[in-house]
Amino acid sequence: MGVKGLWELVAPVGRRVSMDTVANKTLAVDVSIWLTQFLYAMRDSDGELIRNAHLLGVLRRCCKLIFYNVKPIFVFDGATPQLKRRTLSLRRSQRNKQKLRLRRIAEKIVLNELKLKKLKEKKAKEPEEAEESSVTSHIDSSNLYDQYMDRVLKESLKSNKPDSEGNDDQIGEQPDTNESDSNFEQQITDSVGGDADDSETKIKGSEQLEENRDEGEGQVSDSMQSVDSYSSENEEYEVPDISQINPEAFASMPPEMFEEIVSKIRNRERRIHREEFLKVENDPTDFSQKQLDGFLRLSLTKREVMKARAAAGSQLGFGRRRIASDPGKKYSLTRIDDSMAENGDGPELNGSGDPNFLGENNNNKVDEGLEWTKLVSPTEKQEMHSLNPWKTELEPSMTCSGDFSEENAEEDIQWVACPLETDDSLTQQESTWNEQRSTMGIQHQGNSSSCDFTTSLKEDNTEEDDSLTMDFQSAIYSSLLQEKEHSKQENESVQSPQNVADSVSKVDILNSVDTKEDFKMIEERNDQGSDNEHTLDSEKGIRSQVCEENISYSSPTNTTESHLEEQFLNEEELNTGAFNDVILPDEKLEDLFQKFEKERKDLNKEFAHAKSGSDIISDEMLEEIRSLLRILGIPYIQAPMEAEAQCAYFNQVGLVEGVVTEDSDAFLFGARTVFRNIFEDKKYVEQYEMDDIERYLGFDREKLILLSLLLGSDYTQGIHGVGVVNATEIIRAFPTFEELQEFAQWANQLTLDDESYYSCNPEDPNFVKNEFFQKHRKMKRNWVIHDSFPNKHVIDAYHHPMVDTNAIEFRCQRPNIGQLVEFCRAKFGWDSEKVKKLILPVLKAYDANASQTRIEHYFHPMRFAKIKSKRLESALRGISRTVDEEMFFPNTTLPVVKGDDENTFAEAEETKKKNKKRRKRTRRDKVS
Amino acid sequence: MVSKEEQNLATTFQFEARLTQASLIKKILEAIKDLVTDANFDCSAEGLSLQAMDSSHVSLVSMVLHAQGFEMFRCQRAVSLGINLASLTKILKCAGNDDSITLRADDKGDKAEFVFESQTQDRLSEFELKLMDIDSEHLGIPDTKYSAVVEMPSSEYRRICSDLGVMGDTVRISVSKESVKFQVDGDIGKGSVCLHPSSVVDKPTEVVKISLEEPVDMIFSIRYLNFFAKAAPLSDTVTLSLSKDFPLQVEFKFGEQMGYLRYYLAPKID
Repeated sequence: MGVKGLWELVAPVGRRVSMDTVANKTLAVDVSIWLTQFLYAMRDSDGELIRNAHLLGVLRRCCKLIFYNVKPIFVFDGATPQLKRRTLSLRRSQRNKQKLRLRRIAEKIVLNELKLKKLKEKKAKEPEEAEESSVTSHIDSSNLYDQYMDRVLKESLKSNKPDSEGNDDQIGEQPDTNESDSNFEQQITDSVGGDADDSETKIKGSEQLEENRDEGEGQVSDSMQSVDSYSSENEEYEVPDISQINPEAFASMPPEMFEEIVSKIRNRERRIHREEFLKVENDPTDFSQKQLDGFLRLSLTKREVMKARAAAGSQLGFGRRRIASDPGKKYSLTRIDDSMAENGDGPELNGSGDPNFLGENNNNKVDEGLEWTKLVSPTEKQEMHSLNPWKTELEPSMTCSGDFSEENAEEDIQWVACPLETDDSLTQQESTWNEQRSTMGIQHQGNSSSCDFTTSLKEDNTEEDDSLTMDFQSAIYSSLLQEKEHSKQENESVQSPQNVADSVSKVDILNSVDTKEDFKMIEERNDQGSDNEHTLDSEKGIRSQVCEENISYSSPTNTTESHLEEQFLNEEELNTGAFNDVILPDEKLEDLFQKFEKERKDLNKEFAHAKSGSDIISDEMLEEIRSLLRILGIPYIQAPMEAEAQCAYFNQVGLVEGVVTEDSDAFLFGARTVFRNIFEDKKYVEQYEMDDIERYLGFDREKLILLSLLLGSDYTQGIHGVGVVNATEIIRAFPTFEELQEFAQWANQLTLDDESYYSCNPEDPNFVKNEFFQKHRKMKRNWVIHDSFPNKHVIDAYHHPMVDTNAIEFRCQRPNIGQLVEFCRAKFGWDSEKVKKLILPVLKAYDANASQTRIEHYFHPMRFAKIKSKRLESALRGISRTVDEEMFFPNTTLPVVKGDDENTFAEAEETKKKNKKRRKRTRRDKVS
Repeated sequence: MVSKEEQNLATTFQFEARLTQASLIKKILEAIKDLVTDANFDCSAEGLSLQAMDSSHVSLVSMVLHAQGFEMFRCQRAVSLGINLASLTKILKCAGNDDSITLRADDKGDKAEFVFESQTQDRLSEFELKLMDIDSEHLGIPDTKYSAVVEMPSSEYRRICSDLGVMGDTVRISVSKESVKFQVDGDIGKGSVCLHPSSVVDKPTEVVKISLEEPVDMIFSIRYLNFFAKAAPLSDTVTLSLSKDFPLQVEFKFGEQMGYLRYYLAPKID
């Protein structure tokens, strides 16, 4: 704002006068900066902008002016001068940065909130956990697992690069993987940083899902015969064996119920697994055998389920249309869609590398997959599996029908699992990935897409990572993983004695705590990790789907938070916290809790601060302010360009006695009397007289403009490295524009020889310049001078600003109380009492026919600031003809080079020390 | 009168001054403590002086006690004693009206010493007052030739101010050759007091004198005039000096060569 450092320079000639000095004066008030000030400063304790802060601020300031019987004219900023654009664009970029910062902090806050909630939950769970820990004898192993998970997470977090490199090693080029990976990455950031606006609709979406679920349950009871084995109470014994799955029966089921049953089947399978694994815990061979068995069985399950699902899908369009049409859905996966479209022509050919397939091809693929399922015998698979768990599996094809994607085509989603018939490990993974996505895609329709989606990516990362790092020894890990997983399950079943899936969702609904969700995601990841080893694709698909479903069904929660869930998961430390909590001692929990609590406070503070810089001024606000001014009877004018220039013009032609502005440009535009800090809640106002600046500092308007060229202002960048002191010295040596050019020439000259001697003979007419050259020859290296310096246009802009020269005298009117009451009621919600309380004293002062003057009016106050820099002082003495000794610290001043003889210098030196002590006192004495 | 011991002691002090009558200082304090809370007592070779504005900067107090007015006055170099007037009043309560009072200040400037000695010299009390750093504004008071100077008994001045003070808050003082008129136009009504220059000069202290360059008609806040009236015990007569568009000066003299207490009051304007 204004010329950099100019206020500092002119402060010594400023006078601190009481507010009464401005009483009864006619003043031009530059309001261009007011709005920014209000928006920045008027905040409540939470950092929220006070409602109609701009109006309140204007009202208060006007009241102050009216109270002192000031006759103000308000000047608004008009168009921006060309020269100022650069400054403005700088400011704008700053604002953008501010916005970004704000968003980041918001994210952090939500994260922190999540951590806190999670901790709370953990705390609440503590007793149960204790119980649990006695049952689960594998605490050590879970610790191990934690460490492992952390490592994996870290790696996957860093980047996907290592993964893809590893993939390349295995199968060669995987450009699409990388690409889509980055897509996902991008999407994660997008969705995490997503607008809060979405959350509302998303919540709606999940609510609707909730309803859907209820409906679905209703249907469950209706179609009980078709699933007579189903019972929500004790499904473990009544869920049909996987081999008994009847596709038709499934097809007739409502999809929600279908999913539920599938999840139950899966959970039961898992439980059986665990029991088996525990038996052979210590025998690696048996263990891996069991794993293979388990995997095969699960893949069979999945295949069956998929078959059933396909059947159901073909009949009912998989019954997902309802969810699919959910209005709360949001997809941000456009880039992936693109790649899908690209690959649409030859999906089967690209199959090995491209995870994205067009839905249209799915129908026959499903068929293929189904056929294939029948063909592969368990033994065969087993053999292959033992050779290389990654390469054995021929991918079964499965999942959603083409109609599904077609139905949803208008919604830009084509999540379709693809069948991949290669023995390539990566492809396998990719197909898993696809599957997951397909199932998730379905979920997305009802739930907030990004949340689930990011989950899928994470899973994927972990998975891929697993595949690379684990390899054969992964058997050990997987056993650990499994145990962990089971312990989790146990956790859940401890919580409610019902079946797992049910209990989870029920607990969730009961608590309606989103952290539950998060908990489950961890579990899910667990699943994924272990699946990766021995259950691979098919299992995973179902599993993740079920988990997802749980989440989506049981989340009447804030979706924004679930967005961030993923980020949350990524945080290594947090992860440790999440996993270790089971075995964490109380104090440590408490510590963590406090830590997050503190963090939250800090973040909130930061948020409030960041927020204060992010609001912008609208035309509407300006219009509101104008109407308020009309009510208060204060005249205003819209300047054609800069408000301070207009103010200065009024001042020049004598329409006003002074200018009220914070912008030091006013002097350059020709203002004679400037009042500053008039609205600060202090007793004093700073008054600057151009006469004083000319007389005591030696800067007339012309020199001030030249000074601005050096210091930088709204119009020009100035010389980097030149401050007030240097600038004053430069102006002293080069007091005109032409001479400044000379200066620029000199400064731009490369002088290799630093010792270059400039004759410093006082007789020389160029003495001042030479002395300057001599003194600054080393300094100039640090100065960055722009090519355009000195810019004539800037000088012209200050000399001939575009102003309204229509010098009609304006008149203030008495504020209209009736209208003001009405206005305040509408804008601030004040009752008439409050308004009157505010305005009546003001009006009384306004109406008072005699106003009290102040002593300072008549008796001259002392200056409040003195020049501290000796160099500056000496330069000023050079410029100014009349130097007021009052501005300098008495007797500490260096003698001016010219004129003063050595004696005085020695004397000054001698007394300096003494005077320093007495400085204050002597100053006082002088007056009295 | 100064004992040897005291002289030795005195050498350590930058400033030392003794007044025979503590009552003078007590009265001065009474006269200004309602208007000013803290003030710097500036001690220089010329004497002891004080300048302070009231908090709203409407009035200014200027007090000067000339060095020759003291029984003993020694100032090696100028010191400024920042004193809280309420605290000083408390200390001065401990001094009898006829006690002599000695004020000392050392080099450090963090405390001032007050010694009260009874007339019979059989009672000596010493007090130390902590000083404060007061950043006050010093105003240059220009020498002015006033348009109208009115001299009147200070008791009369006090009475007028208190009488009119109940009527309103603004008094209009009009001085003409024949009279000085104080008028009040308040919420409950109007009132005025008019004084004519005394023709008979029986008692010099009850004389009303008007010296006029040109007639003056100004308005002032009665509240402040009432504050000034507290200085009435200091002097039998008070001098009001007025000039158009200039603060009113109300002066109480402490006798010949002793010094004065001047108040300045910024006028109200229509």
